[in-house]
Amino acid sequence: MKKVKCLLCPRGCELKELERGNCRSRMNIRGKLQTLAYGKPCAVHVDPIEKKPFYHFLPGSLSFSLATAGCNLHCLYCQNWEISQSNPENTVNMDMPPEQAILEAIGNKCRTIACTYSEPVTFFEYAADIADIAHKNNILNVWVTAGYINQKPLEEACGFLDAVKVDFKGITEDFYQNVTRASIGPVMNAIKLIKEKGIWLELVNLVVPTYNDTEKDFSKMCDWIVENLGPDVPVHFSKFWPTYQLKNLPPTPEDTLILARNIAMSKGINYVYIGNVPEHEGNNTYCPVCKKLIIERLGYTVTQNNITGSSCKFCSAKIPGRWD
Amino acid sequence: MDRKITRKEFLRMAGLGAFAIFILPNVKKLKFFKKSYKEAKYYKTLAG
Repeated sequence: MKKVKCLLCPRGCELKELERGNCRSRMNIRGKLQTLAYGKPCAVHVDPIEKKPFYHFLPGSLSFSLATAGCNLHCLYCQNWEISQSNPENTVNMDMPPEQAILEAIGNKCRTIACTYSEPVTFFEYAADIADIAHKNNILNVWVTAGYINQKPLEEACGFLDAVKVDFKGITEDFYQNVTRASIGPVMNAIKLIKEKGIWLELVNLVVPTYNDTEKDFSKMCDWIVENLGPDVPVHFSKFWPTYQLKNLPPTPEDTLILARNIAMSKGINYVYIGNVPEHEGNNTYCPVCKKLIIERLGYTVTQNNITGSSCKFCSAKIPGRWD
Repeated sequence: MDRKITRKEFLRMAGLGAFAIFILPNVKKLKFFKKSYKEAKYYKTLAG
């Protein structure tokens, strides 16, 4: 039987007959690479879009969120490891062809469909088919991804995506190798390409104590962001919670997140948020020109929105994002 | 009441046991593989 090479992500898995890729969701079956989870999501929820988190993309709206089993990264701190590190046949799955997903999204008054929880790259074909039908029904498509994908499929994805949140997990190759079992170069390339293509982009950095929480880490990451993406890409520094294989670590101290935010703002990044700390002022959006509060959030709820059109209500400065 | 089970009865019971333990739990998986896979878009067949 013929060997195949997967060209979807930088791992480039070469698979003999009945061998499965590193992501667990692709297999060589009779000389053809087959995705094993098409139309079989194992997690389906209606979430506020702030949960993804997207803070500059249709605030206050609902997102029909789904995932299939499998992931091409293996983060030691994965919050969803029960599905991301499982084979598709070992999770409890729903039968949900793309058309059904759109009907559910419409029925639940969702403005977006989010491929999230695990890794959309591993269910690329399913996500692409959903996106195609979603656009025909005025529903927008968003991905929550680690960005570990090859250029060619990413270019195709940019053709059907409206917003992408990339988990920019660390700024060193060592961190990526040791904690995520991936490599940083392809992630950086993916982030730059998404920005170049004009897709709305937000970044999240989960701050893990002792792994990526030094001033040097924050500085280096922010310098890279400003240099390659500019100052207007929102950056979220999120609190780590001990789980999976890093239960030995404490949660991220709030002071560390505040330090990260201060460094990012001092480097000129205009929209810097603190994640997983409800009621902190770092959840709110402030106008970079007049410094007034323009979006107030409590948890995942928008409690105040002072954006008119796409501008600050107080000083008319344009705020980047998609607001209506 | 205390008669020994015959060889035939033993084999039948062992067969049923094996069916219940090893085959039944995997029926769902077999069905899964038949129904839900779809050819991937980005791959190439390797020569040799």
